[in-house]
Order: sequence, then C-alpha cells, then structure tokens
Amino acid sequence: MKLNDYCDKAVAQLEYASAIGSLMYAMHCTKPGIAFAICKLSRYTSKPNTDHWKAIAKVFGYLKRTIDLGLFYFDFPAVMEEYSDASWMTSSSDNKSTSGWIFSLGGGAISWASKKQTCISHFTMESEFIAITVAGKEAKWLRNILFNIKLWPQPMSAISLYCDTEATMSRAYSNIYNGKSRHINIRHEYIRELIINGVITIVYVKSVNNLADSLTKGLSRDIVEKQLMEWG
Amino acid sequence: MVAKGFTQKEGVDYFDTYSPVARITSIRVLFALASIYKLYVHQMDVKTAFLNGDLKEKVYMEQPEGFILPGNEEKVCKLVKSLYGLKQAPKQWHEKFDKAILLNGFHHNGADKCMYSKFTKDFGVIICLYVDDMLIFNTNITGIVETKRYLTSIFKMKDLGEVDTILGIKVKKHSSGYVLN
Repeated sequence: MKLNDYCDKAVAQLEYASAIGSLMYAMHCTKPGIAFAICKLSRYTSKPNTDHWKAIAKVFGYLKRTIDLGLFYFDFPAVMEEYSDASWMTSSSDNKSTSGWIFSLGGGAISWASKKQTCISHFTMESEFIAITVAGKEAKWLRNILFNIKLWPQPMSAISLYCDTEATMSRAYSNIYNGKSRHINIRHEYIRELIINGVITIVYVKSVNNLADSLTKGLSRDIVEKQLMEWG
Repeated sequence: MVAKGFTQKEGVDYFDTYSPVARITSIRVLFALASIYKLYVHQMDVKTAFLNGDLKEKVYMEQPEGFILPGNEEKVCKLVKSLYGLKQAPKQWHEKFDKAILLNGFHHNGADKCMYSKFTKDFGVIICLYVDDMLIFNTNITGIVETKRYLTSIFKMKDLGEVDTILGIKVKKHSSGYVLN
C-alpha cells in the first residue's frame, strides 16, 4: 500500500496516536507479524490522513484474523538462530533503507525489530551490513543474558546469523578496508570483532527462506503466512 | 491513600526516581528456556509493593483527612516508609527487593537488572521481576517451595500458582512447551 505524507489537515490525530500505541504493545508482546506495518504507519503520527486510517484498519483486521496465533516454544535442542535482512531504499521520500531481524529459540521467536536505518547506504550490501550490526548488538545482549543462566551449555556456541546477500558475507569475513566505505567502517570492525570472539557466525540463506524478509518490506499474503508458521 | 508527589521538589524531597523493569524480550527468552529445559513457572504478586520501600530523604506530609490528632492540628507527619504517589516510590521498592533477594544468595543477571538467579546443587531458580509481578522459573518443586517461603517471610505476597497471564500476555502450557498469546 502506497502512503504519502501529503494532506491538508490531520484526521483524528490523537486517536491515531493512541491506536499506534496499542498496536505497538501487541507487536512488542507477541505479534512480530505487524512490526513492519507499525514501523511504517507510526511515521505519520503527527499528521495522519484517511489513507493511513484505512491502513490501520487493515492491521486491526489482520490481528483479528490471526487472534489464535501465538508464539509456540518447544523442547527443541537449545540452538539460537538469527535472521537478518534489509531492504534497500524502501522509504521513497528520503532514500533510507529498512532493517529487520528476528531471533528464534526453542522453535519460537524471542526478539525482533523492524527499523528505518538512520544513515543512507549506497548499495544493498551496505544496508544489509547495517542490519547485521544492529542484530549483532542484540545477539551479544542475548548471549550475555544466557551466559548468566547456568542452564545453558557452556562454552556457548556462536549464534548463527542468516543473511541473504553473499556480498555482505564476504565483506564481513574480509579484513580489507578501503576508503570508499568509510561510513560503515565502525560497523565493519564491530561485526569482525563479533565473529572473531565467536559471538556470531554468518551463514547464507536464500531470500525466500529468510524469516526476517517480511520485517523489511510488504510481502504478499501467502509468503507472510508461511513465515508466520516458521516464527511459531 | 496517595501522597501528593507533585508537590515534591527535585534535589530536596527526591533525588533519583529511576527504577528498572524487566525487558519483555527477557521474559520471552525465559519462556523459551522453560520449554527447552522443562521448568516450572509460577507467578507471584507483591501486595502493596510500594509501601515496602524505605525513605532516605526527609519527607513531611500533612496529616491525612480523618486521622488528624486533636490538639495537634498544626503538626505534620514525617514519613519513614514510602507511600504510593511519591516520586521515589518505585525506586525505593526496587532497591528494597534487590537487597532482600541478594541476601538469599541470588545473583543479578548482568544483562537485565530485573532477573535474578540462584543455582544450588539441588535446584535452580530464576526470578524475573516486573515492578510487583514476578515470574519464578524452577528446575524442580523444592526450589519453588523454598523460594516462596523465603519471599513470603519478607514481603506480603499473593501466590498466583502456575503462570496464567503476564503483562497482558496469556500463557498456556502444551505437551512440549509454552505458548504466548
């Protein structure tokens, strides 16, 4: 759905903000499926128009249809997986990309986010890189939390991080630095440090199998439903 | 009864009001772990949690309506313990709980200040605190009994038994794990 921010006057701004608030709560608790929609709709909180309200109604309709879906956790072997994805230049007005990631443990999703990136990237590879960096930070936090719980087998194995761009992977594993990518230099160093310390390993996955795909762009209904099954 | 916290002045009546709560991600991580390691999850609630906190600052309040001492109408009360409505109430409560639980041999989780864990040779307990609601994850029944006994000896607690709802999320148990909905 195409949304533009042009409108003469705001339609029910206060109610819009409160609707976004309640959707945000559902999204943070158990509904990763609406993360991208909320991420996008909340950008219009200061001046919503009727199109945005229609989109909100769609989100509520979706929640109503999927009311029985929850996060299922099973007694699977303790392996943590992480999917990260980015879509390049999805925000039409300012050319910024969106990053998304999702962690799963015991067959269910435990941590997810969909965020508009704060800096402009020149290639798909760069935007994926930015997504991996934020996901890497979360990976490190999750590792710390598990490290303190003595149930988890020690020493901890690295979290496998699935990404769907090979260029990003080869970049992450190479230590060559050239001046052209100065704006992602710190991120590059950070990812390399995480790999060297054994916090994460980056694994290639096909885009259709990347569970974080729908956190970065709107997808057709059947693909979204397939991913929901995988999220548990 | 609620104290008029809005008349308090920063730097005089209160200094710091920050009080941590558990991240919702931590709660999900714990449920995933509970499914993997087949932990028992119980829930407890602290009654009038904020009244437990001790006050460090000198705070005075007018005598509450209906409880004014005859002949002493001009006097005010000095608060010893915190009241609902005071700016520092959440912080003082968290501090109090923190001290009590660490005395019992629990340790902070470095990544989330509201998660405490204790592992002995018989059992392992993880407590996740969300203001006055807490989830207790246990490897076996003795752990649960012991932890509950300790907590009820310090605070007035309400035992909610096996977990049902936390922060508006329904928790259901199925044959091989938990469902959050």
